[in-house]
Amino acid sequence: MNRFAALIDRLANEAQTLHRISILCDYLKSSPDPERGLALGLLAGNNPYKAITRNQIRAMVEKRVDHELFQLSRNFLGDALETIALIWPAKPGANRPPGLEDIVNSLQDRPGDAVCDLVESWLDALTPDGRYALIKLLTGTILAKADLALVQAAIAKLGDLAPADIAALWHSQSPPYRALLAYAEGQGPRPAARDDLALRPQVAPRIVRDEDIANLDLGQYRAQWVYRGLSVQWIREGTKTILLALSGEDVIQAFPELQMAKDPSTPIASAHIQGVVQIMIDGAIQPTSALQKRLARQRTTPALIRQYPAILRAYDLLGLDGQDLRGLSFDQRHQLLIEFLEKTQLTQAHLVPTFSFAGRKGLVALHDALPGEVDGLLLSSVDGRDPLIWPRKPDRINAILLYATRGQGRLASQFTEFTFGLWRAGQIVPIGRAQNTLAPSDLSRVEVFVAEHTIDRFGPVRVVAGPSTPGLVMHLEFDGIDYSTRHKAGFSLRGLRISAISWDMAPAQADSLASLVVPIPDSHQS
Amino acid sequence: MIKGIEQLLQPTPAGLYCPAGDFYIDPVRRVSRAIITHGHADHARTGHGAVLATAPTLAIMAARMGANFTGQQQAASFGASVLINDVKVSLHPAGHVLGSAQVCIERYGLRAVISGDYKRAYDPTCTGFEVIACDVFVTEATFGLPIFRHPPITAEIQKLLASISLFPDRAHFVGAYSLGKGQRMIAELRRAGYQRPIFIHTALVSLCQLYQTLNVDLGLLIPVGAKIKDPLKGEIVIGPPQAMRNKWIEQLADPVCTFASGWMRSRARIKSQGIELPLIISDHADWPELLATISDIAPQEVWITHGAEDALMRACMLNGITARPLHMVGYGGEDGDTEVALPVAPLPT
Repeated sequence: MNRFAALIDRLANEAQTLHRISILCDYLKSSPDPERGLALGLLAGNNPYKAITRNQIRAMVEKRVDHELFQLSRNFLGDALETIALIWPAKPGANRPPGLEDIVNSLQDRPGDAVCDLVESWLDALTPDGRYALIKLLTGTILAKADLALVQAAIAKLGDLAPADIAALWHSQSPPYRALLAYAEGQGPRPAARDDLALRPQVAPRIVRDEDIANLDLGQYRAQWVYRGLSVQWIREGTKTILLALSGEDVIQAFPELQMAKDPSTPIASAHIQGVVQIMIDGAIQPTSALQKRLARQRTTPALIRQYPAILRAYDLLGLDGQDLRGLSFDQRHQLLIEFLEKTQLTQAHLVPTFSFAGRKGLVALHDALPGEVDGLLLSSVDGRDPLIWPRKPDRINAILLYATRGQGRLASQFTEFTFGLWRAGQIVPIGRAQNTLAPSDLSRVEVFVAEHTIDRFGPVRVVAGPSTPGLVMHLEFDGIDYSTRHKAGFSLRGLRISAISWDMAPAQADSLASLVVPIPDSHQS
Repeated sequence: MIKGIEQLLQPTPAGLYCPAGDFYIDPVRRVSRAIITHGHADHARTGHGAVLATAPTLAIMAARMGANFTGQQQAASFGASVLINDVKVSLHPAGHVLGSAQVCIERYGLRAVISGDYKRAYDPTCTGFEVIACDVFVTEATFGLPIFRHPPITAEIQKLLASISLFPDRAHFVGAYSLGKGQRMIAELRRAGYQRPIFIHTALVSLCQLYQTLNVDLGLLIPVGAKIKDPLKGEIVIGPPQAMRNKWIEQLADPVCTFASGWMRSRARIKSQGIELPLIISDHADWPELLATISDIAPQEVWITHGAEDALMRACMLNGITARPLHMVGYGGEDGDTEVALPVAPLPT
């Protein structure tokens, strides 16, 4: 437990992902089974070991420590659980410190009040950091400081494997992950995934630009629209349906309507669909913030489902009736997908059609005609190798620099983020923020401009433009518009980025809000 | 109240004063005669008429404030008695930093010990704390809360060494106060078998040299100035904690920011100061050491100068010991709650 406590403290203090992976990988190398696997389970997700309440643990410490001393300490630290961990009196001659597996095993055997005595003996034996971790674990307070992607990357790093390989196996494995860890270390065979319920990893599409299109053998490619949403694999196996995110996590609890309960008249033995989950209201696709609302909730209520109904965009069929279809060509699979969806009439599933196009001109015409809710074209090759994404043409605007924001920590000495605005009735309305991607020479000129034109400051934020001040105009690109009631402009811009600085353009020449002429969908006119 | 104590020792706004001997101990204002326990800036100030201290403390004061920091100086060795008017004064090791002393004053059989700052744990750079029986024991309470229990320093040094082997491509910056903590870190690293040269920020150079001339072995030290040529991958750089908030540190290779301080017990402090690797290392007594010292000395009265006196008062009361808070203002500098602004290398231009 002390070793696990040191791990979570170190992870909590380290911000950079690569370093966090190194720290976790080092822990996996230096810790034995089953402790390390149990630790991974805790870091990756839920904590099933909530055994005592804050009040119970508070009562334990009150028996040992003077009340006034406790209050003085708590006031200094500002955290009751941390105070308990640090103030707990050391007991000479205490037992050996419990390991994570001792704790987990004992809790399974001994539910209820009997746990309290056990917890007290553990607290006697642990270091202050170990006590803190134990208290957080047993009171069910958030303990995990890692996420699934980090955990999988650390396991993969044990043996230079691809994280996607671990992700593909993840769902079929469970704590303490002995077989998976042995496989990653090269000490054992690849665990037999219950393959029908496992993620079938796909090659991640490569981004191509306009100039790359000319070099492609276009006859080998099929075009589909790229919908923005949560990439998933929808898997039906008998009566069980799961929805695996690309991390390997099953998110079906968040989208119960996508179980698409089995209709007895059209039996499905098994099916494996590659797709994207979106929220759609009356035929209108909602911004990803709506998807976040579904994912962020602990419980998915019927009201939430009615408010933000989910659909599955079906891109590809990877398995059917127990057969793995990945060996077939894209065209064959697509034909099977069409037949499957027709036959089963799954209520929430929408086929993503392929477009036929004639040569490069035809493809360019398709690309030019992309509707607003689509991010680009997905080009799948018939043999399944090297899928491509051709992103939509970015929209461009000239906007006025409103605020410049300094970074934190190591980036505290430079601007990391800029906020821009557009004209509306003589006022500049903020439309969004873009990260600093300027060349060092441009950035230092901007720093000088900001230093000379700051009209107000809020912490790390410098206000540099008002209606009557000389401003700086930048040329921006963005991928799309999401309508929103939470933004002053009435929308947010997706993928807003700086493309150039227009040093010689006066702020009065910058675009107005009205120039982003887009018909506002009905659902947002209220 | 002990009879006659007000002639031997009393708190005044300028610091602890001995009326019978007409001298102050660690005064915060300029006085004609002062006894200085140790060289930290909140205890050793410039401009007194005469100063009595240990020879290392006088040398530290001269190194920090210039040779003319006082009118007259008098060095006293540990245990030797000096008569000031009719008060017998002697200095005894306090184990805080090099040269740090407790001041024992005695007159007509009444004895008071002013401990200054002290610790009981082993420190290779200074002489260990000596228990002196007395009637009044004056103690600090910087870490006077039961949550403060400093772990063994060897374990903390191992944390640092483990991190260096985990991140061989990053520099490790250790924030440590330039008098005492910095040198103790170096000496402890040497004791743990770390043989590589240790890089030190300019703020530490003069005091490290002084320690070395006073026969404290620190091994090979390389000063780093405002401009660092080599990003020092895999090396240890020790400097004042303020340097972590300075652009200077960006020259190091993706530095791991560590801070050696007793305050690293608090997770909120670790977060707010952006420390990646906290090292709980302090030159002050922790809670068990404070209680053990009071119980070892068993004085009639305990006076508490500065720090978290409420909790220590409470603990004395529970143990049946008379305790009195002095609420002294002006202490708690180097490892205390407020950080003394130390000179930091200017930005490279």
